[in-house]
Amino acid sequence: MAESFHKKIPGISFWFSITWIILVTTIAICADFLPLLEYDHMDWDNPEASPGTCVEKQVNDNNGEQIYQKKIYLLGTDTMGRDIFTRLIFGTRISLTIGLAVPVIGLIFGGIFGMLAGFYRGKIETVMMATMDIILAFPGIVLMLAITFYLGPGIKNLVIALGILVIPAFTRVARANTLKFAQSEFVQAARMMGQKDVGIMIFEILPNILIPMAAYALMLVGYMIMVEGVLSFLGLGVQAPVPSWGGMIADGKEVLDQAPFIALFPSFIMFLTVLSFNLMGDYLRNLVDTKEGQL
Amino acid sequence: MNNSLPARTLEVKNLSVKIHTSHNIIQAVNDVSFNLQEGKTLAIVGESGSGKSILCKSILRLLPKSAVVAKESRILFNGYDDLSLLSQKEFNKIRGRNIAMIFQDPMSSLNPVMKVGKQIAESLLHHMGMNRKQAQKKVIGLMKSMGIAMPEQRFFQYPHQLSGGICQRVAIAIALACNPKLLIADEPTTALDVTVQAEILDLLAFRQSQKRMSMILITHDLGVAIGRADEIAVMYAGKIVEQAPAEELFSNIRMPYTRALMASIPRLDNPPHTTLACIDGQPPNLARPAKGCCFAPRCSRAQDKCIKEEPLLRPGIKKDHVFACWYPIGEAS
Amino acid sequence: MMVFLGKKLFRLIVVILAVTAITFLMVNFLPGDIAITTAGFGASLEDVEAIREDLGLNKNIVLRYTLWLFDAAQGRLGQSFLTDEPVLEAISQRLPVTIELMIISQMFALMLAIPFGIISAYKSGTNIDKTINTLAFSVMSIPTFVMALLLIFAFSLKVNWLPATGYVPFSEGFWLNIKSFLLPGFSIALVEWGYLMRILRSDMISTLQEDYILMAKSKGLPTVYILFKHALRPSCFTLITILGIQVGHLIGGAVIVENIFALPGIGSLLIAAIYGRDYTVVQGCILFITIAYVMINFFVDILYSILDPRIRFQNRT
Repeated sequence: MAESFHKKIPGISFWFSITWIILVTTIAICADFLPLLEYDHMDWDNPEASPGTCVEKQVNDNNGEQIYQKKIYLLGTDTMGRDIFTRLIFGTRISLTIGLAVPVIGLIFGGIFGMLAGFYRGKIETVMMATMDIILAFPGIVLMLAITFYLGPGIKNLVIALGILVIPAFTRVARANTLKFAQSEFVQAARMMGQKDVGIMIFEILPNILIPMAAYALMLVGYMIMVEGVLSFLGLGVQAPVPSWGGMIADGKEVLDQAPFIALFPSFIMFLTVLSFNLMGDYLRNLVDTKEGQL
Repeated sequence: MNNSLPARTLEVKNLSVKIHTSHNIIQAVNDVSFNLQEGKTLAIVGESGSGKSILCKSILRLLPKSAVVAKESRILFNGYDDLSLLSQKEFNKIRGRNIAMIFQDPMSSLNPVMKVGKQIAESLLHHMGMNRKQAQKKVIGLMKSMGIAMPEQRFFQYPHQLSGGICQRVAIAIALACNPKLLIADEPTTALDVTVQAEILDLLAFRQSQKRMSMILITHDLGVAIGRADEIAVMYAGKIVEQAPAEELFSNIRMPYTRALMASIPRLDNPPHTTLACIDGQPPNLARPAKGCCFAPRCSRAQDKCIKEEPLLRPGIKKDHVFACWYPIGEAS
Repeated sequence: MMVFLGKKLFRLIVVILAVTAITFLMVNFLPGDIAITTAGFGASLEDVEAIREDLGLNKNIVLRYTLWLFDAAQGRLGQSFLTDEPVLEAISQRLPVTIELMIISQMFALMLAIPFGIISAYKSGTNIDKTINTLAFSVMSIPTFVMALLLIFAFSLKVNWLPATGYVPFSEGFWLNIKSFLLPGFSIALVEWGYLMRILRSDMISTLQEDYILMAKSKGLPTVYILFKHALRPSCFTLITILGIQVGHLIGGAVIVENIFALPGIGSLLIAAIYGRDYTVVQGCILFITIAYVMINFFVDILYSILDPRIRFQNRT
């Protein structure tokens, strides 16, 4: 493996990434408690309002009295007059849910399969790896389209489908690393002390394969956010009115000429988030520097 | 080239090379000077890590980026005043054309994905202005003269299809393709079978006498050097510690280190099961050079002076036999 | 070499069988009844039964799979529910567009990746290397569809040099045709080159430390010549494998680019079929793309061994 351009000492890119990831995650979790506008409120008087637009409106409050309500569209409104800033924040939830849930599924199932295959070898390994090869033989995005087509769109189906797709890669990483440790002295020692296979796998092998697998998982988060973007962009992901970055970009695509910011804001946020996860993953991979992590 | 005889092919003056590692700076070559006359062979002998390879690579500018040649170093080559003053482009006209090199491991020094014929032809195409057809003809002739059977077939083969011995013959063919004035052979036989070693050395000696080529033969085996070289320089810790004509050195060893090297050669006339002498202790740490003689910690003759003061290279009874030792063998200090 | 080929071929057949079976099963375990869906609204029970008979839906599933496989092998993939166009015909009409997009985008990606990869490896550790790497890492974090929108925004809307969407067939002129592929091609290439560059760079750095590079230098060959003639080829094996896999991905992955730029390729056919819930077309497309993908990977494997003489001859010597 060639040396990477990122040093092992955390540099500015590392601190940037981790700050951005923490910021985005916190906002996604707290979105409900933040003083935001409603993400699905359509202000038909102000579609495609430019960023920073301030509107005052007469509305009836609960007691039937007329009051003035002041609204600021920080990042403008989309084609249906919905506040982009609010939708961006709620879109974060979708992206992060998929971006984090999918690698976790891969991590759990791939880890179990890979450890079993690497630990017991023999027929279990042959059958398991052949199955994984067949899943890998499918072109990812097409299988993705097929699954959402047959199961119907929706965040749950999306997570299941993507999860199945990433299990083989995790299985390979886990197996390769298990093979490395299965013959090592501390495993032999544990066996002689009378520890059961399950115990060896959990207490001796798992801690050692966790870091390379986590590095791979982090690299995958960015990719999954992009895949969710593609599917939502095509209208096959999360369904309206729930906002997602991909859907927002698709919406802005139609008015790229008059109101480019509608598509560009979510694009930029998506880019920053994906970049941050990629940088983090690269940093972690450099730390462990295993070839298997690359796949 | 029209200088009066004996013409000097190569003159190295005060060559020093430092290598920067992540932790410290290593003085790999320390103030080395020597001359090489036309048609002669100089053997540079030393343990691994003595700096002999770095020395030769620095002549051909093949050092890694981390190595720095000292400013006062001068390398004068026949017709060119100072090689280190040449631009990269000018230097490339000499490299491969006038000075060529053979490397230790023939298998790894040939490009695995290029046909060997092409690898030999390259320098002909590049330096001699030949076209492909002329070059191919010349290459097949060259391969034949290197003792490679069926050169027409071998021309189109890849290195991994050939044996180590044939690969080294190919490497020699590459080096000799343009009839260089100077050949640097960096342990040309170390990676080969013992039976092939002599053949390769004989081949080199034969070609050398034919073309009046000068040669620097680098080896860790004093036995190889004694039979083949006109002059022998013994290197230790980046310095030349003893240098003399081969016969003189063989009969009158002055430096204890050279004697130790000599004793470690296996000899046929020894009785069976003789234990080979080896040199005690570790090679010196080049990152922190000692104040006195570098060999002193391992030397059986070392005295107080050896540890305190560094001996300089000086001639003994004979003018052409120089050594760096306070208490040389067989000569009063 | 023959053993090697035989093993690969066996694997290929197993994978194709598995892949076709999964594609077949997906349609069959569909929620809802295909016969009813096909018959449409207001069809009588007899109509549905007739269609069920017609499609062979009441037979054993293994038998049906075998029959379907034989049909598919002969190119009988059925007809579109929406347009009655035979599926194979629809695919073969759109294939050239997808292939052209693939070739153009990969060419652009390589044109960027190879020079940058070589410079970056040769200058490894310097600021040039760091700049190129940061750039590559950044573009890899831009999704293709965002890149496509950025290019449209910059080159069609701001300066109006290139058409934003639309496809000009080859028959209407070579340049017009190429022009309609420029933005789609670059949308893919500008994201992909970073990936390819990093792979080439990492292999190239280890190649440059080989003895034979030192040997080439000692021959007095110019640096550029050494980089391209001696170092590039032994550093290319991973790149070519990845490129092959990438091409396989693109048959399906071009979906989004074809969709954005309204190129009538297989991707847009698939998307249109998904929107229209046109089962036979979706199944046909998935089958076709998957088989093409598997086959391409197979040939990449073979190509890999031809390129690297060390593998090519390993069974002979």
